[in-house]
Amino acid sequence: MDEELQGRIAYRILISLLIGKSGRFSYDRVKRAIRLAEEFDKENGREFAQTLTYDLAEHIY
Amino acid sequence: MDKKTKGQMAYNLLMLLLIEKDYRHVKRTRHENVKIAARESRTFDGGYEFLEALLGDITESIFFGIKVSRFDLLEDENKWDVAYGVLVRLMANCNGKFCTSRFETMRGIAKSLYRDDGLEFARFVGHDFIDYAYSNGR
Repeated sequence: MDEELQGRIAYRILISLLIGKSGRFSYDRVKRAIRLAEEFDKENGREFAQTLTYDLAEHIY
Repeated sequence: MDKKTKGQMAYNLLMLLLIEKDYRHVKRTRHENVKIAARESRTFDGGYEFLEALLGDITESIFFGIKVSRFDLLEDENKWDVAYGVLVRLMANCNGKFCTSRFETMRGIAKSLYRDDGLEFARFVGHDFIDYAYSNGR
């Protein structure tokens, strides 16, 4: 499978999992995702996490 | 009180009304308030840009701590009116009626942040909400 497509799918699934059934921020899970992103890649992890949280807010509101 | 001052105060208060705080640790959004603010923002000219900035600042504030406010970076002069307008409309509850408890919360925060100016600001918001509510046939 194409890596970019794989990434896109994973990103969409990640957003769905972080929002949860309530349709709100699952705060602890988002914090964990941010930590994991930063652990995974020190340079780009923070930027990824910022984009992710912003996209989450866009999805929710 | 000029519109820039009112707009900046409104934005600062909006952020506090949209995010739960214990004054040291930001916890999470006040979900219903954010939903109302998002819906109302979209009805203004320049509202989408404003909403983008607002949501960006909310998430930054909750998860990272704001370094540079996206609202401050907005160049559209209309942002002051949008911020104030959204705050005024946030004072309406789901039925379009004046939400006393939300207004009292806003007034309390305004007073603690800006003292007499905050009380004057709250009076403006109260008057403008009534004006908005009745001119829209609510």
